[in-house]
Amino acid sequence: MSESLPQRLDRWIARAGFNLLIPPLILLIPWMQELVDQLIFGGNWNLPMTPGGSFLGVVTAPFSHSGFGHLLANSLTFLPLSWLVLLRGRRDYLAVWLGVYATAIPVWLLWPNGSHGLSGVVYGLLGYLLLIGWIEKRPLSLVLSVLALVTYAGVLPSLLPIFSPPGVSWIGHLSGFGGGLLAALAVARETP
Amino acid sequence: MIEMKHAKSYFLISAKQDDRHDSLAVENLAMLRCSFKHQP
Repeated sequence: MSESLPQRLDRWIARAGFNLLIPPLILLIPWMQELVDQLIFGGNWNLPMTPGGSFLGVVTAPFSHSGFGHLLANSLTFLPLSWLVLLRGRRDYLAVWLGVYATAIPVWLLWPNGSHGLSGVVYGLLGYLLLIGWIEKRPLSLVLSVLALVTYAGVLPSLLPIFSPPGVSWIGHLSGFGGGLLAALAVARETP
Repeated sequence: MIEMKHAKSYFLISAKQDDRHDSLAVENLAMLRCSFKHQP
């Protein structure tokens, strides 16, 4: 028996409510890490991706930050972009994370400097949002792409070394952005 | 992402010695400006 409209609406609201919680729950990890880092290790506990270092660094780098300012800035961008991607579903959100991790591997293997922070994932979410509307040309994906472009286009110059200030890992941003593009290509649905 | 140019190890690294705080501030400001100005 097919569901009635109110039942489908209830199910959608329940799913949306759970999706709303996912990004803050993820953010608990770097906030707890930073709290322990500052309170116990005096800011010396960092888990970056380092050249020639452990693969564990690739996994932990997004959850390690240079201080509360760095983490707060990334968190405030991570939350809205995550929610926008989650409007499309958890599969797409997971695809962005996997894409960002996949493109971080060549950076870890080949780039001479270590780096850490959540902004690679932030750029991945942005890359996904910008491309998905272009590929699918469906109403929701087009709205997401336009919204992302209008609100976050200002951070795109940081993808290029000439506009990226020294000390900021433009390659980390660029690889994250590329991961998001790959995710969009992987999960895009055929237009009926 | 912030570079840790002098990071030779994993786990215990002084971020203060490794990172350039002016650059960090630039990244923070760029991100914050976007977040506050255009929070959907």
